[in-house]
Amino acid sequence: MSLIKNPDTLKEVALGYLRDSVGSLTAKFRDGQWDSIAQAVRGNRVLVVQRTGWGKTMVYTIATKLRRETGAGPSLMISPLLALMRNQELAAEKLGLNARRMTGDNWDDWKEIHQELEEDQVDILMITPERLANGMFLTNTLPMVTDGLGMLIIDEAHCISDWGHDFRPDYRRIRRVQEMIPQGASIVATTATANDRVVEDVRRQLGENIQVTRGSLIRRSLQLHNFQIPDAAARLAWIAWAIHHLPGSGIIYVLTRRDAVMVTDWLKHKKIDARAYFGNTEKREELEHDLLENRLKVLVATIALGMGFDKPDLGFIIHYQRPGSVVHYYQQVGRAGRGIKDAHGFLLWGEEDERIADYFLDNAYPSQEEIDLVLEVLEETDGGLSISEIMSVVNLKESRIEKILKLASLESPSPVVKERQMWYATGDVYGFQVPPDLIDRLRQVREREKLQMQEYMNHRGCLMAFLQHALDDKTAQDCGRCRNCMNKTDKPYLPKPAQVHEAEQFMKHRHIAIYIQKRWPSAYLSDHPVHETIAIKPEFLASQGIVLSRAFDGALGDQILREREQQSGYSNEVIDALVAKLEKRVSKIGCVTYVPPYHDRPHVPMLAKAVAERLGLSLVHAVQRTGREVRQSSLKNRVQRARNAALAFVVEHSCTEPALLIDDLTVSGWTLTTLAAFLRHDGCPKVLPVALVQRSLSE
Amino acid sequence: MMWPLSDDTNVILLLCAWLGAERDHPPLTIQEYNHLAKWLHHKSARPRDLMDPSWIQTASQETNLRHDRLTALLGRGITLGFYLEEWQRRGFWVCGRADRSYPHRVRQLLKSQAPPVLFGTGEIKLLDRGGTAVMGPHHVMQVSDQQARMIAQQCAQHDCVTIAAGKQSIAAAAAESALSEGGSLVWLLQGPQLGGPLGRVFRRAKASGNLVLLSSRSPSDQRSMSSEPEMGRLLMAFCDAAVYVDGTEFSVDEFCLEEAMYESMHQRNCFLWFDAQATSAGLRMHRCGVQSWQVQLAMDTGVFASHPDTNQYESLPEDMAGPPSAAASSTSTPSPANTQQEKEANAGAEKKAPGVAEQIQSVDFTDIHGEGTQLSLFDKK
Repeated sequence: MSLIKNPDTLKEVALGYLRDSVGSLTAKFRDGQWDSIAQAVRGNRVLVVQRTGWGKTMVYTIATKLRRETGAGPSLMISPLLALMRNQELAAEKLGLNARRMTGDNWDDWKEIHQELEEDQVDILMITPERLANGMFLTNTLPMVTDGLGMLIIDEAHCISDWGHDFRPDYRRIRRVQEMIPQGASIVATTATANDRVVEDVRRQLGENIQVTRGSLIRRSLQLHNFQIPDAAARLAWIAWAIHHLPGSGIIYVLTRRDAVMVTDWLKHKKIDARAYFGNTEKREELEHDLLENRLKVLVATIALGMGFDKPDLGFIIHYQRPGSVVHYYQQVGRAGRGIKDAHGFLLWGEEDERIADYFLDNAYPSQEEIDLVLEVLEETDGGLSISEIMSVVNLKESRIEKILKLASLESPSPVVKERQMWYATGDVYGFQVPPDLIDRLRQVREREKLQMQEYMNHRGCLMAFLQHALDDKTAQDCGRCRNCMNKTDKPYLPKPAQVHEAEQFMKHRHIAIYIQKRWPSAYLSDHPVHETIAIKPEFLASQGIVLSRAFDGALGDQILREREQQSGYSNEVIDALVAKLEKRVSKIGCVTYVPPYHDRPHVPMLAKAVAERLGLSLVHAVQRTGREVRQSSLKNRVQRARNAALAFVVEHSCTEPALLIDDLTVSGWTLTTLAAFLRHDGCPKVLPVALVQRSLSE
Repeated sequence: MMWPLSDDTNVILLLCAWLGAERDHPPLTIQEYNHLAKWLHHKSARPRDLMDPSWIQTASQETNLRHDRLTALLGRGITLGFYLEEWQRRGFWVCGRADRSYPHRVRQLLKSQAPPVLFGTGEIKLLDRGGTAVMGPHHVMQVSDQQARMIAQQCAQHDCVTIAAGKQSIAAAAAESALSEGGSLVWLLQGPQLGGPLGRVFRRAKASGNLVLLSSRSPSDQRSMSSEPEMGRLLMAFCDAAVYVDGTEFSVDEFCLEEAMYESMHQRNCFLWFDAQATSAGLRMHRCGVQSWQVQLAMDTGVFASHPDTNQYESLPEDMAGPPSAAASSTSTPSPANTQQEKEANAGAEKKAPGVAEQIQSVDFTDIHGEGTQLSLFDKK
């Protein structure tokens, strides 16, 4: 306590910690750094808006250190960024603090962490905002902190504001938590990306007596380049060329997991040491570590590798597609050049960007009608329902239902509650509405971001200054380094035709795994014996099948989708490509059968006939439709699709030899899985599913 | 009660609420809090003044509450923020003794025994409507459950609030029956029980203002307690009449309902229902003057009448932290009348029930059932 009473001593001690931490005897606090620490130590509220690398971490680690020395409880840090947490552990260690994280990837450590909390051995406990949504944090973890938390640290505090570029539902809870905390408790909120409106919003929520520290966002080492390469193959060719010429290691940002895998495969094909990184990639920590240690040339990542990943010598960032907003772009490109003099950021964009951006915009938020559908089903039930049970009666995508329940469960009071995987309506379900202004506001923000991104891509002035202006950085001025400042706008490098052709061939011929299911999605689908068990019995399973292309791949997949809409059936080019792919796999196949069309479209029977003829196999009209089904494409989730497929077909003629089961488009895989099971049940020894194009439910 | 909470209620929560597994510095007991509240009142201060460290220092010196304990409890602000958010999201309200919405009945009947904070969900106004408590021990026969249902049904039909405590069979049966019949329900639960999922009947009753669930323990208070006499006292504070539905001989009375009934017998119509054989608890009650349950008798004595008027109760006791206007008009010295009432209340809590043998000898069993039924216990004697 004596430290706090004497400000001079306090600052001296804090400076010593700073120097210990950075390993320099002459290190000094940056403007605003000490003021922020002092306020936090006194039990006040602090908002720090500074670029990444400024030293925000130092504010709360030193404040924690000082508060702990006066007997305060541990700090709780809420951060959406796993990568950042791993760095925090190391940063805290340098100050002699014990920082522990409780995240989904270290369950095994939780018991030990609880023990340490109980013994007051943890100085900073780090959790993701999603951890709060899990009741276990409040019932199991927080009670372990005997005398309460000493300080609350909110990382990426712009998420608190609905006007922020990064809406995260769980931050709605954090906003309410900090509103509920009585005065006199320390709160440190940090962000690198907040414009004036967001700062005001956060300031209002944290309370009047808040200290705000805000600095310049410019990153002088970074050279920004923008150019359009509409064609996917040409972009792949350019990237391969560029990476061979760029020093150091870097990150390629893509919008979807599918593209992460595809670009990685291409780079590996071009002998570049690349790995894919997205939400559910295994060993994410190991991949980050490999990049940190320069054991990888490039990591091809979705937004999952976001803020918080700190590699000072990262040499380049390439955006394969345009990101959702200028602020996201600033955050991502800002990973490069933190500790080196020269780094590059390349923003490429193509034909598919607009479609993907529109998809994300359209699907970002559920409508009130969709919310009502889900809530009505829960209200009508006396007990609770699992997600699968909800899906069986509500024709919405699983992710949509989850999003609705998530949004609803975060409202206060909440119309739903989750207990052990089951969702229940509460007494507040009646007349529940997600605040209409919230959805409108979020849509407005996303629309404006999209327009601003388009503006940035066509901007002729300084690119860095544009980014700074977008974040209301008053110090913005021309950087003198970007492609526009260097007057290079009319000299884009274009890959050679041979390089583009190679990329096209790669896209056309690369292996794509077909979706085949191994478990039925719910307990009861039909009386057919194949549905007796949830795990599909091995004797009814389909073999690993073959799919020729992906939808919207900018190549063959797009051509097939176009031909699918034409009356004339599939072209010889498509049939040739499929037969070429099948030839190596059909040595033990005896016949060809197909999925009968919902309407009388002849495309699939004709395709099956052509394939059978060219492969010299017999064609069996094995399956008939029952007429009890609805159109599969009208169903939006796996439970309804599996049930519909179970109703739709009956085997009229058994295939007694191993068979190819042909369809043109496969989406969820339930039709092929179900038919394969039926055929095998009726005596077919093996079923190899084949499709021309695969599309995901979200496409 | 309204969110956000007043600064006073925040401080009372910090001082008194169990938020989890507090160990070194347990929250204040009701007696400790009363002591502190009296001291604050004497100083013309409010609970919120304790957020100033200098007040903690003085309070500690003058109340003998340890400084480190007060500091630790009041330092739980961030932790409390997380729980408050969770409670609000789950649709709970929190009502401190200093809030205007704190139930008058509890404040005025329990006085210093009134819990510093109540936690609940649903229509708080029901708490001042009076009603009939349907209560009983843990272990009962099926016929007891049926009787509890019938009584609750009668309450509902006469627009009388049913009041129940705990989740054991009698309370659960009465609660379900009252709401199914379209009646209103005040249901006292242990803290964590407030958050369980509600069946459709309960959800709908809550939405239409016919249900309130409440507890004097926080929804995060995970302590397991073998005896919770404040539940029994609260139950009796909310009701105008009470029916004890007898159970089996070895049943547990963890809410001390029997004792609560003795304490309130002079202010309440108290009834006893049992089947063919009363337990020793039932016999004690009867001997102490609890009437045998009869619907007609109950109606004649106004059991099912509505008692929404809370003005029948006295003004606030002076030693309790009330709303600012009330506090400003009161003096720091407790009045003799209040002191006497407190003594009575405390004496009631300490009153020992007579031994079983004494009761059996002194009870006139012939009319205990109200219909001349002979008791098997009497036969044994």
